[in-house]
Parts: sequence; C-alpha cells; structure tokens
Amino acid sequence: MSTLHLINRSPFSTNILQELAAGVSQDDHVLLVEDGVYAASGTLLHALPEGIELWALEEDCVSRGVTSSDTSKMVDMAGFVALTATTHRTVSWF
Amino acid sequence: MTPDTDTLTLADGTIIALDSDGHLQDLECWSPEVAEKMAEHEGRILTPEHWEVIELLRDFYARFEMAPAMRALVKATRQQLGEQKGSSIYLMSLFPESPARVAARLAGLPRPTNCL
Amino acid sequence: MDSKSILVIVRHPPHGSSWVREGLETALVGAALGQPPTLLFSGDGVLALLAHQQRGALGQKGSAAMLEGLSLYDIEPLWYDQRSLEDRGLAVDQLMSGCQQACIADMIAKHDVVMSF
Repeated sequence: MSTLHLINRSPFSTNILQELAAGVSQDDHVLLVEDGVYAASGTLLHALPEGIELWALEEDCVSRGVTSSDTSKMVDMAGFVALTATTHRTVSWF
Repeated sequence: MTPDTDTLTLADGTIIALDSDGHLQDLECWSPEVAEKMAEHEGRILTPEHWEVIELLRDFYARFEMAPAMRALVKATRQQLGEQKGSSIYLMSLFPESPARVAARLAGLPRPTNCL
Repeated sequence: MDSKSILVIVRHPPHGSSWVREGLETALVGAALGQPPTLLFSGDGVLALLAHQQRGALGQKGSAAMLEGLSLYDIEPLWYDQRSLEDRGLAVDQLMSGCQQACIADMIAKHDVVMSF
C-alpha cells in the first residue's frame, strides 16, 4: 500500500523536502519532476529516511541538463505511468 | 443592462437589479422588503416559517462566510429550529425545487458553491 | 460500491493566496456528496488554524470563518500535523477549537485518495 510522492519544485527555494520527509513511509516512491529534478544532484535527498525509492523524470532532467546521480534513478514517461499504477495513491507536493 | 435581466422596484422607487438566475446583482442591497419583492417576482409568498429560515441563513452567512449546501442547511435548521423543522422534507415544502439555492437567493446570499 | 477514503491536505498559509479556501471548498464538495473527507493541516497549513484571525485589511475573507462551519458538514475534527505546529513555535492552545493532533505520514498511509492544497 505504498505512495508515490511527486516533487515539482526546486528544493533550494522551498523546504519541500523537509515537508516530504515528514510525510513519507517505508517503501514509498518519490519522483522528481519539472524543477524538482534539481534535487537529483547534491545532498538534499539524504534528508529523506531510508527505504524510499527515489526517481527523477528523464524528460525533465534532459531538458534542464541535469545528469543522473547515485541517489536517484532515471525513469521515463512510461515509467512514470507504471509507478502511478503500482502504488496505491499519489500525493503531489506542489 | 441587458434586456434579459429583471429588476424589482421598491416602494420608494429604488430599482434593484437581478442577474439571469434571479439572484441579486448587488448582495449589499438586500433588505426584508427586497426579499418580499423577490418572492413575489418568483410567485412565492413568504410566511413566518419562510422568514425563520431566511434569518437563519443570514446568520449562517455572517458567521461562516459561506452559503450552506443542503446538508449543512438541514443540520443548522435542526440545531436552531428543532428536530421537526430540521429535515429536508420540511425545507423542500417551504422552498420547492432546491431549498438551499432558493432560500439563499431570497436571503441575499451568494449561490451555495458546493450545492450540487 | 465501496467508497474511497479521501484526505484533503492544506499545506499553504491563509490570507496570502486562496489555496486554503480552495482546499476547504473541495472538502465541502465531498461532504455535499455524502463523503466528508478527512481534513489535515500540515506545513504552513497549520497557520490557517490559528485562533483570533480577522479579515484582511481590505476586508478580504480569510478562511477562519469557514473553518468554524465545517462541523455542520460533518467535517471534523480539524487535524493538524504536530511537527509542523512545533516547527513554527506554536502550541495547540493557540489554535481554534475542534483541532486534533495527527502525523502526516500516518494520515497519508491511511487514505485511498490524497489531495493537496
């Protein structure tokens, strides 16, 4: 019964990741989209608890010149759709 | 003013404009006389029982800054006017069609936003 | 048909935008359809629960009056995320009546559908 959390804003101009950290549960998925992908590199994602799967939307990374990191895996649009189908609910942290 | 909007004329000659759904264009101009004229315009006659509900709606709006949808109107009526009147059948008999909408219109409230 | 449990999370502060009112309107639609959702205030959303709020300087409506009326729609209690409250140096006695403590992660995990405002 896991949750897919969507982050679409830069974690450097909001404290969205601290808010997210309080809202996630074990086995949840976090997908970075739009300006959220700027969290993919850097250390901010370390604030999230263990046991969370981290993803970054490939299309948004490519358009922003953001390269993949060790912490998050790339997923394309089809993968995004698959994530919404395999999780029980989606929360958008806009 | 477009030709399909109606107006009411008060005893002192003041003209009150209604929108295409019969609501007051300017909610500020509501008065008991305006409510009587609106009811007359819609072919309704307001009894003391109607007025109880209209007053209740105006209190509700002053307190909560929203016009109640049916469910909340029934609940508020039950709390203030008692078990017997706090039913959708009773309110339906006073304000046929859609009590929440019709009574809000006569009470000079905006449309209940979540009234479906 | 089994109805889904709905959680409405308010995460924005009142007055500065219409997010709080939008969230409340959504909760009211659920209630009008006979499915009152759970309403949770988290992050800056807890600021909407502060007692003694007034209208804006130009008379704009806030959300406090609406919050007082939600129990008539069977939307109660008003849940707040405890940590968000503490982070802002607030305590429950500074909030309006009818508020109850919750933890956002548990709340999300307990509902089928989550809408965030």
